[in-house]
Amino acid sequence: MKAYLGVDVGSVSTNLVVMGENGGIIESLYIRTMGQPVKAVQDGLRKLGEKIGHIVKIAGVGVTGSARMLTAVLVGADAVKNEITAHAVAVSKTVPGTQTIIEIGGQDSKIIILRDGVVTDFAMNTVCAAGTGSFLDQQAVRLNVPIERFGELALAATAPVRIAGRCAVFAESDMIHKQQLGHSLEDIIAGLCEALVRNYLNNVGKGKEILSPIVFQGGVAANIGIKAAFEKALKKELVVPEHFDVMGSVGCCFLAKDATRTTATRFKGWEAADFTFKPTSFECKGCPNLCEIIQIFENDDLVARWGDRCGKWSSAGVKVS
Amino acid sequence: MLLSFPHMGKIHLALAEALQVLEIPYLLPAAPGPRSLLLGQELAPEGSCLPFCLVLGNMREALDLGADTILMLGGSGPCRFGYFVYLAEQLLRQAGYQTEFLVIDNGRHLRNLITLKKKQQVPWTYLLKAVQCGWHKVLTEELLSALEREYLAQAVNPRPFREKLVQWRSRLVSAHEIPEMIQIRQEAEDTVKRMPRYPASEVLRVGLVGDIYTMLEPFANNRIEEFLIGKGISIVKTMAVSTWLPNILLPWKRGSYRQNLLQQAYPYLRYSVGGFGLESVAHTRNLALRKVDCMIQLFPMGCMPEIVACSALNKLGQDENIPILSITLDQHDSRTGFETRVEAFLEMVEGIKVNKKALCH
Repeated sequence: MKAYLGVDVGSVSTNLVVMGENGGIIESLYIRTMGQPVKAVQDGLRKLGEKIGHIVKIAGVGVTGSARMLTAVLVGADAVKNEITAHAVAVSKTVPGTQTIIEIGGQDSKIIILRDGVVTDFAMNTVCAAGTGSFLDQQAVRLNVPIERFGELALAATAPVRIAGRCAVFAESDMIHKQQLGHSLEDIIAGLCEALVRNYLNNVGKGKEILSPIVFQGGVAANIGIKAAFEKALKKELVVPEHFDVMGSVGCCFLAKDATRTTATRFKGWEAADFTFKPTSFECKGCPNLCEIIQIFENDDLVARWGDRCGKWSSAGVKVS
Repeated sequence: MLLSFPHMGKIHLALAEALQVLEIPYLLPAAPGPRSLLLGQELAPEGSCLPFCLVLGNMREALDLGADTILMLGGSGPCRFGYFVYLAEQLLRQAGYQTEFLVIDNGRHLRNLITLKKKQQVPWTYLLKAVQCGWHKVLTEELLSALEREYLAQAVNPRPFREKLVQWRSRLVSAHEIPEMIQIRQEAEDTVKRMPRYPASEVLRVGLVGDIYTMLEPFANNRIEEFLIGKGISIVKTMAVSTWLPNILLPWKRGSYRQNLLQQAYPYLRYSVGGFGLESVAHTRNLALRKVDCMIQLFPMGCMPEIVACSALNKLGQDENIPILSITLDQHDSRTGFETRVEAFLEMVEGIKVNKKALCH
């Protein structure tokens, strides 16, 4: 069976999706990146290969996420795209008619405005990552609450406390102070959800026309507390799609399909899970730019180099397969 | 006396040329980079903007190399930049540097020029020539850059144009007479006029606005111009040393310059909001008329004037139907996040453009 592979390597999670020719999702995986993108991607490939490697034939690979350059080398990608385009493509194909996408991931939060299936506006947090998944994760660990239970605890609150959502550092100190004053855990968590939604709408969503249907996706969409806070603030219903946590990868599958219409795939095969990839880096002292150069070795061969602004290192000594 | 000055875009060309004519020894620090940022941060107050850290760091680099006098063009405008030189002077003194400051700006520039002239005992005619030579040098280089960023993407054969640019630039380096610099400018303009080009509507055109330092200094704007040119995009940018300097140094130009900006920015901004906020709004309005497909506004974190301009631009973008991306820059070293946003924005604009064309046919 012909299928497409989409890989989205983000700060918190690494997602892999295998999609059939007709757009149906055959298999999806959600793995914690744990700061080791290479290992996460290889783990994912191994699991998928063992499970469905014998029934599908990968005809195209798309990658996205903050580690997309690295991932592209690891798996051999046909399409390398930014997350915004990947998410927008996924939604316009799987939830047609959507006008607004709210996406909150590990370190990014974004809003995408679609009209007639075309992206007409978007915004993404720039300097501040308050209210994103990794902050929620941290707080869950600090409060000793499994992140999966965060949402239901928030819904059990009776009087959510006020918390500054403008900055993760401010939010944390507010939370600590309120907890020391004796507020209940539920009220603090609910307050945090509301603060994060307020921060999102004031910064990322500022000046945007948020029309229904609104799709809510990204890892944080699993948190029913945040969803409820959004619905309360917007007075509108949010749709959480079936594959909300791997939508970036779903978009990549569609992008991979597009990219391989006339060309063969560059996919390195499931066995890439067992290659040894070793990234090393050094600082080039050739000029005041002091670029940090990354080199990727695949089984002792130098397969990629990047990070230089002048191009002196990018192509030097790289094995072309 | 060993004079030095912090970088800001191409301003060093003007200063170096003028100082050569005056036969004043000077030292050119390295272009701002990670080291300047590090040195600047060490002394800068908490919450200082990126431009301040970079300028301060760049001054320290120069002083560490042996300079003893810092020359600065501008530095007392209506923003924190206005307090720039004075704050930098204090901080450097406190850190133990024995430095003299020569500020060429509002009110103080004539007096400082005279001090310089007396010190070096140069006649007035020399001083005049120095200023003119410096002016023409930066004007020529900025014209070449403007032509490069706007027309390289439109050229049917970019290679000969690129080669020409290299030739003009190397000629400019050794040009010390004004007629020669004028000739380079004319040749460049003629070449672009005669060069076969794709129609402007077929190439994506991006307008850039923001505060002056971020606009002019590649390290402060993540080298966005290189990034865009590499993607085959035509860039239009109004901010330049040669468009800004005369308006702050020549008192008779100041009034009409401001009046013009206010007219263009009306009704989105009716007052100057400090820094380059008014410029950002006025230039966006102007570029919208010059048929750019979208605008990118870049500014350092905490830059109040640009934050005000950002809100005005939001409204302006909706009214004029032009997509605007505002990006706040800070001390991030990784470019991934920045490139993600710009790339996604460009793809969106391209999508809108294709869609519009499809609707027209």
